[in-house]
Amino acid sequence: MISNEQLEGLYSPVVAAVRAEATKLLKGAAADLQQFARDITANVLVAVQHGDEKLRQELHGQLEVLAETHRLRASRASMKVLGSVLDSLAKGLEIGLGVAIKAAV
Amino acid sequence: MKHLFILSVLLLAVSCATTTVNTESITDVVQVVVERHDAYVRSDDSLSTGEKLAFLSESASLLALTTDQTEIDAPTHEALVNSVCARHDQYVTQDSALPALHREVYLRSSVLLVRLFKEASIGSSPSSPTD
Repeated sequence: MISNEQLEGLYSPVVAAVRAEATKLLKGAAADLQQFARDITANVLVAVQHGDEKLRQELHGQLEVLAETHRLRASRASMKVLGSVLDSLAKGLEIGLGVAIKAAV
Repeated sequence: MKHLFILSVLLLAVSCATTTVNTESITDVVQVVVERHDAYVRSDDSLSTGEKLAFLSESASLLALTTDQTEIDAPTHEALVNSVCARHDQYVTQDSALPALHREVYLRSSVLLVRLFKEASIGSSPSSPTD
């Protein structure tokens, strides 16, 4: 009879590969996405142990959806930074124009 | 002034990227969710033929989106994703023959899709003052 630990040892290369991919895909991701990634990785171990290839593929697909969510969040964060820079520049321009008009008058 | 223009263009480009979902990242999950959804709908005797056709047509539209395009505009298709996923979840939750692990994984697939489209759609609306 093989113990759970031995089973984990047998499948550890597969699970380690999934963990490595999850870490790479979700580098710097928010806590909620990291939690999803941990749950998925835990499920992968069970799916592999049961030889459930279809479930393993679905779990792999879930990691890709997580990575896409992470990409969107990162894009939105960049947009906010750009937006605030643009606002500052617009305000600066407004002040500059005001000073110029006052000087002209 | 020139810098202002360049920043505006950059802002517009990044803004578009936040509402567009890359289909390559979601194809696998959409495919399994639609397959399951369709199998449940086909075997549901409580549905009329018309209802079955309507539900299957809806899921086929979702699948076609991910196979025909490389990018999807999230706000436009969020309702479609929500509708198919909600029906999928209803069937999965009611299926008492499903092992706990499978139920957990199946429900997570739709949760992740709904979240992704919701987050991408938020990007389409102007940010609130509290942002």
